[in-house]
Amino acid sequence: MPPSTPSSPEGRNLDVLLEPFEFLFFRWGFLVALMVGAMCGALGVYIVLQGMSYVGHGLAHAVFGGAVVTFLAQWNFYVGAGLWGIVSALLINALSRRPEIKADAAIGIITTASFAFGVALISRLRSYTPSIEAMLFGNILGVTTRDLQIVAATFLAVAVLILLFYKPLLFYTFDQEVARVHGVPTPRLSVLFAFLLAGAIITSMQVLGVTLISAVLIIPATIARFLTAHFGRMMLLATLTGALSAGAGIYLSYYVNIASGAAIILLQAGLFLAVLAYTSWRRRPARAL
Amino acid sequence: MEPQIELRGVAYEDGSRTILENINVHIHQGQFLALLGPNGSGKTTLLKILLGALAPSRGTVIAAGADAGARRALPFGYVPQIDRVDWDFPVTVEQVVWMGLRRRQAGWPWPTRRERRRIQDVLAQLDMPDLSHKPIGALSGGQQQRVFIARALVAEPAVLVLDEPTSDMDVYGTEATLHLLARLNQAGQTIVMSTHDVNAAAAHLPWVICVNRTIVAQGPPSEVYRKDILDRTYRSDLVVTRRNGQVFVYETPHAHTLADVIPDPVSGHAPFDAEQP
Repeated sequence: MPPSTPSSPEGRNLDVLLEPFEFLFFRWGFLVALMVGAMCGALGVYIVLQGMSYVGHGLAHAVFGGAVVTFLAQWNFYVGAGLWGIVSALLINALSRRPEIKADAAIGIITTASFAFGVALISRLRSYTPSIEAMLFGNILGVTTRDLQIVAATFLAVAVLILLFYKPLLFYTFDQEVARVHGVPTPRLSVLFAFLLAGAIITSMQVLGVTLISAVLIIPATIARFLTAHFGRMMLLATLTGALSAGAGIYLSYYVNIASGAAIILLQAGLFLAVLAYTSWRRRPARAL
Repeated sequence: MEPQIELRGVAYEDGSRTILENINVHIHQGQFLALLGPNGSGKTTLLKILLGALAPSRGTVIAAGADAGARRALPFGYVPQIDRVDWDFPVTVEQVVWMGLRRRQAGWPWPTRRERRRIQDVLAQLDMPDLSHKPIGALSGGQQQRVFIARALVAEPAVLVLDEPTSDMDVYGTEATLHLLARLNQAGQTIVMSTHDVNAAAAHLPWVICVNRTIVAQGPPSEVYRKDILDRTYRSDLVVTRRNGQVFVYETPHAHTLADVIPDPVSGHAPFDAEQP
């Protein structure tokens, strides 16, 4: 078989497939999407297993309030929104420890109040600027070298800390009360997890926007749970599903010309349906002869 | 003999409600004892104070001769009520037991060879050598209970604390669990448990503590199982009988017959080929 050349049909197909990678913005966006997808996929496992799926959605909305303040005050986005996110996560944590308030109510109160604060500030501004729109819906075209560096640093920190504190985080997620009795420092782990989650959400805003972040935290972990009953394998599957679907989503968005965040989520939702159908088929009762 | 743990004048208040008051208990090395009492009597609160998960409002907990912070002074192994456990959680038996191993919090994200050996030893000790790779949700109720006992034992605790280990178990499961605990106790393990099952406690435990907000009585079942003591503990009318050296306790909470409640019941109808008593 003759080798593919640029002028042969195979060569032309390859050129079309590799075309987006000729653009620097796409290469950076692709890399960021891979890291964000992997990071959110892994953290999503803890969120889904604790039955706290709403926390990603809520925290993303809470961070929006901080992002608007940061934008108006012209502070560094990552510092301002990061601090806001961490404080919101800690407040949710502190509030949900009170027996009268369940976690979902604590998340609802803190995050909607913070989001409302952002909306109030915007309404004073009386116009949507592209930066604020990007916070809400994501803008992969706007990834800068600095964004790439910050996402890479956050990705590395999340990966190292999850690996390093794998066992206490597993125990904490499985049964907090018993973990505490067995000497696991559960309050410090709560703070660590709040830091990791806030970091992941803030760095994901660029790609996905406030409105779509929760899906990348929940869907890969849920897909992985369908496929395995082993915690380590679930982490691995959720991380890979998150990374690969985020990369494929960015790629898809280039050709179909839709928002990158929407492409990623739709791809993950399609994958979820396929896995749901597959596992339902596997579990179907044997037909009586 | 110096007690391993001493609760001296312990009280616990939740807001304006007094859950426990004037609790004085000695627990000695190698003792096997049960806290008896009805729902809401303070048994679980007392266990949590013992474990260091709750701080007493008044009084002191002295463990291994050191004041307060019993959790710090003595390593505890804790087995929670199994109805609190999420059985759909994706963990294997080995991972659950691994959680109980104490060492530095940060470490490899998998058990080391030495840890694996220790986990296998404990599982073998509890007659489950081949279950290490099974998901916990796939086990029977009795096996699940033993996995949590294995998690509590794997770090060789000074005291094993179990919260209602036989709740929701049938008579055979209860028997097997209590025999297992008796075997561990005979090997030197100090065990403290709470239970509702007064008859099972009488047949398996050498020491019981009757709790209802305060200590009603403590001692061997042969001395403590008296109608006046158990009536005060359970605030109920109980019948206590003795036969062949065994104590039996019956509840008589319903001071009426069926006819008093449903004078005109609709009768059931057995199928024509069903065996009649």
